[in-house]
Amino acid sequence: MKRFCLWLGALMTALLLLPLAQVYADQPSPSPIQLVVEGKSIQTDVAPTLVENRTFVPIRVVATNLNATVQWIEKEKKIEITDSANHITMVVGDKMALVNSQEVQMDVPPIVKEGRTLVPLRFVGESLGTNVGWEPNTKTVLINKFYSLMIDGNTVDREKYKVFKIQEELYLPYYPLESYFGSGKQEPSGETITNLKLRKLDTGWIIPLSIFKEHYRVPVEMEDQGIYIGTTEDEEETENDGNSDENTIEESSSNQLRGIDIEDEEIILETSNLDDTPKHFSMTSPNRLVIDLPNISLSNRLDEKVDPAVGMGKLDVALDQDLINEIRYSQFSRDPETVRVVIEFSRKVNYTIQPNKKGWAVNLNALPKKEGFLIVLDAGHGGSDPGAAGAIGNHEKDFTLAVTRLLKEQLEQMKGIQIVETRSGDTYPTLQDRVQLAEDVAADLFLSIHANSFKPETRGTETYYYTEQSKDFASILHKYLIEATNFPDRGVKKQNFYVIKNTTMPSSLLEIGFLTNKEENQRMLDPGFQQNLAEKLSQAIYEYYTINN
Amino acid sequence: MVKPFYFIKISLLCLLILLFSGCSEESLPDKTPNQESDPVETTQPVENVKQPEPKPNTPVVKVEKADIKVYFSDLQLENLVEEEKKITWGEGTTKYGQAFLALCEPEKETTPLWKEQNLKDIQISPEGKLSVNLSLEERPNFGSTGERFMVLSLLQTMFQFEEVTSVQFLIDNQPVETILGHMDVSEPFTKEMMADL
Repeated sequence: MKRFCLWLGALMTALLLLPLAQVYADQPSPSPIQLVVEGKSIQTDVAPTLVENRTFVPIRVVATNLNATVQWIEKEKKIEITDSANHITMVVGDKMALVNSQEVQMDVPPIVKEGRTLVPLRFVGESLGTNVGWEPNTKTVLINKFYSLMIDGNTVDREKYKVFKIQEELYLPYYPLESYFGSGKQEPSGETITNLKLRKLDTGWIIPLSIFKEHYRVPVEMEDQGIYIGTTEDEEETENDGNSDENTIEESSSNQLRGIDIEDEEIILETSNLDDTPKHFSMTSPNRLVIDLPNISLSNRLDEKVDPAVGMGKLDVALDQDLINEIRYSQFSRDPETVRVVIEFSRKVNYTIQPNKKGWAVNLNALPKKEGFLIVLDAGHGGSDPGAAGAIGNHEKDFTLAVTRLLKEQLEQMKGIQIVETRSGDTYPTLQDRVQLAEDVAADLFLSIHANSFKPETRGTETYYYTEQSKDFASILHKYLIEATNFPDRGVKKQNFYVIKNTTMPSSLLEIGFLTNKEENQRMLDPGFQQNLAEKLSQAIYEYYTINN
Repeated sequence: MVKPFYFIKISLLCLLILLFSGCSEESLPDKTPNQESDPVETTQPVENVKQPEPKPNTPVVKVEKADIKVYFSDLQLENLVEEEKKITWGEGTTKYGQAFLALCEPEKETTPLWKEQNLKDIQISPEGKLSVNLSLEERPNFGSTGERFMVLSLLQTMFQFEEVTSVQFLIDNQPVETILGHMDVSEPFTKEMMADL
């Protein structure tokens, strides 16, 4: 019982210390170094030890776990390791080894420690043709047979990228597959690591095969020790055979991505037709947008620039472009034909993708850099949400936008003040989007403009705040607001409306007046009233700004 | 060595279970003070209504009734106004559905915050979570102040029933961020949250 508790305690501590690393649940080993052979945790009577940052094991461990015969010739301090295909000769203290009659330099020689002969595990394992990996987080050495890996017809460099087995799961090297995730050889973000259950070995990140299959419906075939991802060998051969005349056929009939043009804050993906709507998603660290164009192939011009080693082409991005870092493209899949375009940004960006006469236009709306005292202006409602209906059938969303735009104009004339709008047209950002925007741009103030609605008789102006830090801001706003409207004063009220509850900076929500009241509605629709209102509100904000800066 | 602790723990647990079960048995009938029971009927109406009748030839219509409080707005949208109402439920109707209907029809010179058409259905889980499934085909023409009153009037009405522990608003059976664009209704409301509304 007590031991169990201790063990549990140790496990909990390990879990706390290594939130991303999975702890082997099989058996807790007393040794700090774990040995996993063919996916199974191996208990050795003599634990593996670290010497000069290399894992050493007694020669007997090699014999029992790697299916090799080991001979120890005491006189010469010589070790002979033989399996069905390989023969290794090593001498204690000598960095020169003989592998299949070839001299090979080891970085660490075999040693004798406490009367036992220890050999460097990685060297022996790799010499015997196995894959050897080291997971620092869990202090685990992984050894399993070699798998050849072929991605879209290209054999992956076996020295660089290796397949591992942990328990029953095969793990593939992440980087060669990375084009599927569109992240461009960047260190995966914490989010990616968690979502894709990535693990980090000294040889790089690895991803469980099942997770990869789950995310990408790419054909995966297993054959003995070979893993084939994407197009199979046969298909590849036929493609290569017909390569010369294939292009001509493509050009005449099928849809092609002809070019990618950057025009200010717009990127045009020029396609021969607009039959298939692209799929798209964005990712972070770095911020990027991934667009998959279905049923399309790369034009010759784009295809020529594809680097065959990585299967990707890159576009030259002008240096004065501070928003777009890089644009990459690849023939992501052949059956069905899909082209993937990845646009990497220097910062967070909102985008829309719309068809135009040339192809698909990606409109970018980058978040501004903070350059002053920043106020997020939020025109209530919008788009699909008209808000309340006014006495003459007018919409609240139009009124809130008109006032916000005027207020922006006023504030932009004031020195040191910067404005960001949650919407500048008839769109509906969700309440969460509005809050998120304010957080993303690190706003100093958040102001939401609304108009009220109830019975024809109901009247008045009110100002809402929620957090204590917003109280002063709300009071100043209300003072000027009442001056501007001259409607009955309903006061400053504390209320947990979404946008003022969830923003972390001082925030307020204004209900200018009642659209359902004929008189108030008429005045609110008057451009002169709106202009005066905007001026008064800008004065209120400026007063708050000067008090607090 | 660890056995005594175990024993103490188990005894404590038993004691707690006993205490709690004792509590609930004693207090259950009293804890719905607003509810006037028909003397013939038992005090647990919802379950009784749903129980299949043993004699199908002589269907007994079990009707429950209660005096409840419902809430409306004054004309200036300044205060919620309380009204007492009698509701009855039984065959095909539930207490919560009837309470909602009562919320739609004020007797005095007050303004209702709800319309019958806004409710699709209303259901309670065994844990006491009331799901209020709304339809916004006919959008109530309220601003933030009105939306708050809407939510508040419904919550106050439903929370007077002891068994309702939380209220989740849904629109067309889906959880939503907000009903009219101001109030955060993404999470269920609990009785404890009422002080902050």
